[in-house]
Amino acid sequence: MKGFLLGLASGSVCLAYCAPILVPYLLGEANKTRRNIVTLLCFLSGRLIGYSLFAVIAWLANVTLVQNLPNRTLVFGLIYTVLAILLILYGFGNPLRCLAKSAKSLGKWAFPGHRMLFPVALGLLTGLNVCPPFLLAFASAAEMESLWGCLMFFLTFFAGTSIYFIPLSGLGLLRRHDFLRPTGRLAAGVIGVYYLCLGLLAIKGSFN
Amino acid sequence: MSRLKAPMAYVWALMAVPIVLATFIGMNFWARKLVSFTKLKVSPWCTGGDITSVVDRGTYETHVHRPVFGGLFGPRARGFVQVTLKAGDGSLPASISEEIDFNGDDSSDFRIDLDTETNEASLESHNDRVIGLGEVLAPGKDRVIRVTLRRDAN
Amino acid sequence: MARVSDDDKGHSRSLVKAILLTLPMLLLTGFMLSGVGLPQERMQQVALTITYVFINGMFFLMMYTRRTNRYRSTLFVVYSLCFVISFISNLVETRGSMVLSHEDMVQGDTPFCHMVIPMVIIPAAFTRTIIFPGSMLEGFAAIGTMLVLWLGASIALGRAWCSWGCFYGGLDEGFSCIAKKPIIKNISKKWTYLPFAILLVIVLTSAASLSPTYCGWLCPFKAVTEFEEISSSTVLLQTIIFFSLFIGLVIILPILTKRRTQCGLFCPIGAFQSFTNKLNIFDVRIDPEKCSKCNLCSKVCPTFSVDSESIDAGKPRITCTKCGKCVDSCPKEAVSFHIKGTPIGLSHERARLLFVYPAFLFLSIMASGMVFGALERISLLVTTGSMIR
Repeated sequence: MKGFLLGLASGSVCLAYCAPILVPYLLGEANKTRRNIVTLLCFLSGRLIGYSLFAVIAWLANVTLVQNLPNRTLVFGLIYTVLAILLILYGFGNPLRCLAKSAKSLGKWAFPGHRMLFPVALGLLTGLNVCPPFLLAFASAAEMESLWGCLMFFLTFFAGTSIYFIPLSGLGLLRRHDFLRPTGRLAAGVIGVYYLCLGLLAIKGSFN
Repeated sequence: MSRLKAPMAYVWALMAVPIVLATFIGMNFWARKLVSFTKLKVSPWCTGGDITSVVDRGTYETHVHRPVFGGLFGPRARGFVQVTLKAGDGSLPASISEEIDFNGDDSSDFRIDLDTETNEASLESHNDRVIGLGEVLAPGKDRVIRVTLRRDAN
Repeated sequence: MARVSDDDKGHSRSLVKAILLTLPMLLLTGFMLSGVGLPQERMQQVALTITYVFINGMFFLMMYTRRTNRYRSTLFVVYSLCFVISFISNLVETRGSMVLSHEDMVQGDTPFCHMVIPMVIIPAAFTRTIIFPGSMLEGFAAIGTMLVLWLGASIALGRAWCSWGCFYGGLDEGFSCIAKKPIIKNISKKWTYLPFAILLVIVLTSAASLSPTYCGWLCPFKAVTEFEEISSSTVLLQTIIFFSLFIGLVIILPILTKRRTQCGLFCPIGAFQSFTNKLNIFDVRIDPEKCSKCNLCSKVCPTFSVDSESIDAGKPRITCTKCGKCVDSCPKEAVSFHIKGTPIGLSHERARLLFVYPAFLFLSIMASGMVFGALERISLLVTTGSMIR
């Protein structure tokens, strides 16, 4: 219950962190509302996997002491960078043919035959990002002694935050406007460049 | 209605010159009206927030601002409290040591030691919510110190 | 059937008619320039006279030749250059350099510019605060006054702001006029959506971070106005981005393409103005009965706003800045300024005059302060060897 309430209380902040990534993607796909719900569910399932992974990490952190974790800034810098590269390939892929080719082969390699795994990957990577409510949840979960307790905490936290994402599926109603599709894709690319800068700065910062 | 459309369009087009003139001539007037009507203010993340207490130290004043946590929809997990050391007629003393109570419970939450010549500062926390020293700025003769805070769990 | 009035035939009009049409502008600009009080110093009086004569000279030529873009463009480029000269000189005079320190930001000494407007709307709606380290009413370029200026421009001119009001637009316009022929001719239509994409991103990220992300990361004009003191790797990276974007989008690409690439392929406030343009009564239309499909308008459009699709549709895309270049270049006079709600093809010149008066008045008021300021600085340089008082 504590995790759910925390998620409910801070879900708007989660949305603020994830919307810049999710909104351009949904617009870029210009799907119908029903299709967007599926995309959103895939994104949220990615977040769920990310949260579950973090529940395990939180438990491990408790067992092995948080202070002994490997260079956290470097880890998050790398996550940002991977997320950024995915978004840049998605956003600017078409006109830059060589990059598009790489994106396709990367996609084929990473998610063979499954288009919906891309939003799952986005969800997973945003799920692993360190937004303030997430850190708060991590700190709370890290106090728990059992792995099951940690998992339940993060799952309820996920449920609480996910409520705020539901209205985003309505973006499909805008699909009639042709210009939104390339705009959304390019926006994803621009966000990718932004995250790439953040990722590179975090990686540089981790060596200081 | 359709017969009126074109004349109305021409009237609206003719209005463009008075609109431009009114914009420039009445700019300050409209700006004051706009600000008072919308009640817009500069974000406390930029200004440091409203001042909640002023302590007169003789040669200078210590202004403690309201802690800033405001996010788009609700408060953020991390914020800051700003302390402004306002110089009087002269300049600030070479070194300043201040006990700050930012939550108004009559007990010190942190102590700041500041060398006003080098602008080097150190912080001693007496409250769990105090995370660390943020920025030390020197606008003119004054000094501005921002201390990073964690939001109260309650 | 389209009807062409007597006024529309031929190109230049009689000298007397042109002078009569210039008279209202002479009076209005005279009134606006003298409104703040006439200067006492001889050098300033000379600068003011040159400004007045130059601005009204441009308008007279616009009336006499019936060409809009050439003289608008000249004034627009001069205006931007003068803006840079007077803005930098003022900064150096008041702050000592172009560097914007955190101290300036905390004190609310950052001048507000129209680029910030799309980013402040959502936070202003939710938090009643403006996420910009400026001042609401006091000082140079206060937030309140700049918002009023933008509102007035949006109602009177719509997206014409980008060719008749913006103090940055003249820079890439100037560089786009340098080469005789474009070296890069084909740019994918997809990139014309980039300003809208950047707009979407900066609106979302600014709302999430409660800070104006475009100013922090993307504004090319930081290179010629003010930029943050380099105190960390982040600021260094941001500064590299600003300068790269300025060199690439405002200098190199306009020379290579002969287009305003910053305005047409990057600027988010331009994209934002495309939506506020709905408030405005003026637009540009292409008369399908006269159009010979030569595509000249498409080739010369500086902001990529005319293509074969828009020619078929009879109007440019929503990104049209009403600069008048297509109107001037059309050999069949098929492209014209137009007043929404009135029939197409009737008296082009009437619609043009109704648009050009407010648009030029706006440009002249904005430009006069900058041209006067720059002339003053240049005269200081000549007489004292320094632009700083």
